[in-house]
Amino acid sequence: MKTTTLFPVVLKKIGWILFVPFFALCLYCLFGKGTEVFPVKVFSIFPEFPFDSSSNKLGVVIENCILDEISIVGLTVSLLFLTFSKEKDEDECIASIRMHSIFWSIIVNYIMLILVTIFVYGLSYMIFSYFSLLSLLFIFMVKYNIELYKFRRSNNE
Amino acid sequence: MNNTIRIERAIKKMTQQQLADLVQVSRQTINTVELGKYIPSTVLALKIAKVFEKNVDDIFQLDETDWDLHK
Repeated sequence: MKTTTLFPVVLKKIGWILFVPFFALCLYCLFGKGTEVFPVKVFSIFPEFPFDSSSNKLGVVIENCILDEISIVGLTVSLLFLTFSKEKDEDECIASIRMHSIFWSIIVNYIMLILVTIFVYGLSYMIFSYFSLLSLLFIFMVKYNIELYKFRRSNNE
Repeated sequence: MNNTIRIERAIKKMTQQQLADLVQVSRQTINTVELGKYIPSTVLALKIAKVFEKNVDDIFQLDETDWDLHK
């Protein structure tokens, strides 16, 4: 049976290779000085917040430290490869496990986001917001791999 | 949903792996279908029935819980 379109099998391995350094880079940006090093000129559509149409600053070149942008893009790509690549033994049961894991992780992620919105304020909320950019994919990856491990261990000949 | 895959396999002296290879899924998928943990697609049910040279409803039967899904 034709299942949902997914990335090729080989991208899962590449996903793991990319995940480790970009995850470390994200932690460095979040808790270290990753947002203060490596400044370069970048094109920005919305350089300032809040966007003010009267200031005439739409789509300009600004100076920015791009380590955090690289870490978020890299980690997102690696998580997408890890979660949406075909398995070697891909079949409809694994597709079903993937679907259940997506459903479960969306529910858990948004319960967490609601709790964080209610109970966390100030700068801590900004840190959680940064984390929440990727938490859905991250929770999905963990849940999916746990379910896949349980499925592969099932042996009842 | 109940099924008689295990019995049919025993009659044909077939392992889960052999059946899995014939219907192009993993052995674990056959295992979860046998245990009733996973309801196969129509295509897979038809393939399994074809391997055992039976009709689909000889292999798979609805049980009472299948009528209570939305209650």
